[in-house]
Amino acid sequence: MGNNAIARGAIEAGVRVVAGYPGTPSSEILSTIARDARKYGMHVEWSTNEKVAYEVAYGAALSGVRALMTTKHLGVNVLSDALLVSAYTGVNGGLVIVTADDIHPFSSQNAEDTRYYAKLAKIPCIEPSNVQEAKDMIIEAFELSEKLQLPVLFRVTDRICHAKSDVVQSEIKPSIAKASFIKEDSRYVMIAPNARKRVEWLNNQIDKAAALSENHPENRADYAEQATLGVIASGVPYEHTIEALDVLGLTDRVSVLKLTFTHPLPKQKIAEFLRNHSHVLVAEEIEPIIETEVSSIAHQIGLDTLVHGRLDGYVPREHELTPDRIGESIARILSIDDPLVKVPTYKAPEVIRRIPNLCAGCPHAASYYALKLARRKMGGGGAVTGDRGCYNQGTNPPLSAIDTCVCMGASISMASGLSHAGVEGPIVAVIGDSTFLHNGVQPLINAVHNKANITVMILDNGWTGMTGHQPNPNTGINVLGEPAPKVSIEKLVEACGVQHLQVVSPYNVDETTAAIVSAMQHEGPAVVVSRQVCPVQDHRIRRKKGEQIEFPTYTVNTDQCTGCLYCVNNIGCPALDVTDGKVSINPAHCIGCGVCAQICPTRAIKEIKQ
Amino acid sequence: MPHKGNQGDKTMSFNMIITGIGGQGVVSAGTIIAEAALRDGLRIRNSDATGLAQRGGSVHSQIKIGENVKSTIVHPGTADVLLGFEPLEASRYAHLLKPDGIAIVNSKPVLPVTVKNGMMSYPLMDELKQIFDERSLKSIWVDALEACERLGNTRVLNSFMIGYMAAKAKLPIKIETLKETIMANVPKRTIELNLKAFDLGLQQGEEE
Repeated sequence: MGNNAIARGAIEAGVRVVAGYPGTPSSEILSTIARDARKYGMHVEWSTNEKVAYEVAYGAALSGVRALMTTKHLGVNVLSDALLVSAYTGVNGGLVIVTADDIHPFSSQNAEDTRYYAKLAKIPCIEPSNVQEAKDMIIEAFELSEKLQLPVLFRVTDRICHAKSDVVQSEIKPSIAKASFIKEDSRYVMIAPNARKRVEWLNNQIDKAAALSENHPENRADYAEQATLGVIASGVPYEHTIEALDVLGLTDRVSVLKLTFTHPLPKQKIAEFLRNHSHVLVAEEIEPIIETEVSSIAHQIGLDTLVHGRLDGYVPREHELTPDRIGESIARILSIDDPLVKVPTYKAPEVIRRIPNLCAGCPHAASYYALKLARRKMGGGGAVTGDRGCYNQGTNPPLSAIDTCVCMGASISMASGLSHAGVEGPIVAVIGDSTFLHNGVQPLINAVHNKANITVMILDNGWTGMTGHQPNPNTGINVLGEPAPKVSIEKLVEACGVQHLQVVSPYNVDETTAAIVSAMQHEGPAVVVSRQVCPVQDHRIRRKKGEQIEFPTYTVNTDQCTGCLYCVNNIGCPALDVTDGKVSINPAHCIGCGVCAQICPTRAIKEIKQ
Repeated sequence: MPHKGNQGDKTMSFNMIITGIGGQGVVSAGTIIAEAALRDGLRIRNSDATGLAQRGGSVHSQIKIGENVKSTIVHPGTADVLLGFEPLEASRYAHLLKPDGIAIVNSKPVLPVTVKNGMMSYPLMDELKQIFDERSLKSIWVDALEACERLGNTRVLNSFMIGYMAAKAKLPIKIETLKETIMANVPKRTIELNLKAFDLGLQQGEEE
């Protein structure tokens, strides 16, 4: 997997400190490195959020050792505060931020191009085009960072992170750098007078980077003889371009400029490429960053080469590029001057969309059911602000349990806003344990301080589930699998000043409903911790230990089942099947949580006593 | 795993896609086939869509084998094999098959909750087969779930389907290598059962 290759590259480069926060598609980079942490004397940690992780890595890099920070694109927004100033102080040991951009997006709230941050912070950006290159170039990214004393943005996408390929490995060179911190206030203390001097230094460094980009071997043009069209492609779209030209049989008719060191851009190489073609197509993901700059270069040198891409509609404005999408763009441009070139179209069959749901026995589904009952008891109205985690699958039918999902921690602050604005009815924020510790504590302190009348449900399943069950400070173990102190969510909530707190198990429907109603009735912020360990992860761990997983078996009495589908419609459990209008329980999926038995209006679901 | 260098045909290229839903072992099957190709000295690219794998969403794995593989994505009209673990999810990707490609599909549907409660309706099996027929694509349908039930465990569906495919399609990978790779990739306690499922698939594929 690409993420394993990036991990391997970082280890080969002798990285000493690695920090990150899980996020698809980046998560496996850090967990792979963690497996070798002891062997090569590396410190590896899941930090509480991306800003914390970046600052840990940055601090380490100031001491002269190599440090790596891993994140998905949204995490770069979180760490950007530190990033922009860290470019002013610069680093001593190599500091690389691997940002895995979900550009489609496949599993994120937005599709974002973090390359803008490289421009904003004035730091180099490297975009490998395949798994092998990702492994090789991360080593180079560390060297580049040390050469320029700047953090380097290493930008990958899903088609590298989760792609697999044959990879040639190199030797691991464990770091011999000795960490030391040398006081240098004019560089590390960014008060305004010092910052005014450092901005000049930073501009000089990025100019030096431009010279390196100009001569970089992976910023290279392959000219096709007498080609009128040239494609400028960065990252994964480069490989798609080669594939598209091959499938269309156009390899000899189109030149390709591959760009890998993409900030700063090699302007002279681009200018020369522009001079040699009447049309240039830019294939990049996901915003027209290179395209805009290529257009500007063409304009500056007075060329009438036409620059095509996402801006003039030759490349679809949104979503990831694929070989067929690039192929279609190439054919459309060639057909302008050559009517013999056929523009291919590929039509995918239209079939119903499969809507994902929460797993069988998911405690979140039970929490949502109790929340629904509690809202009904309180007379309805209000709103449920959701957050980021598995539980946002609760938006899908039949649950349709949340009304918003924006960014880490926003549930609590947005609920506060709705409450202060005067929205009538209970306002409820729903947030997972990991998300609460990432960026939910400050909004809760804020809600208490400013007397927001809200109910906060902390869905505590003990793991960072959605991204593949990473441990967090609430799990009791760290990334190395060692025991780690467990934060007390209750004490934390109390310390924030919350006056009304109850801890319940969502598998007990009546108790959970009563706790939510009571929290809603409380004037001011109230918290319900709905605690049940993620059964998927719990069973996995216990099975690995060789334990036999035992749980109660439930069955439906078909004489009693009226086929009302109340259970299917209110918890949407995948273990519930419907045959000839009656419900049955699939024993291959059921984990015996017993929630369906508690909610069945005719009590048709019963535990089978062994 | 290191690349051993291609010992076979330099111009050979083989593309395939495996489709299904979370929990059916789509990604593991993709890993097994890609790794088996690697063990046979071939170059590979493999890319998965797994965003919601644990939550009953659509999952697919694309595998490309050959000395000159580039992009990890299978270009429409270039797949030799579509291996479908679920009928609806198989039909969704019919356009990836090349004209002489072949779809091998488990005919047992997995119904989404929104179908169970009547919000949506699942296409008729004939409508799904029609998607292949109207494109003049060959499709073979097999009740793999029933076969796995005979083995007493439906969790080995992927091994059965790999075996069945090995009988029905011309793979660039040796049968023995596929078995070795299954052994290396599945949990120890399930090795025997997975190999049984593979053999059953292979046998059933050869007989049918």
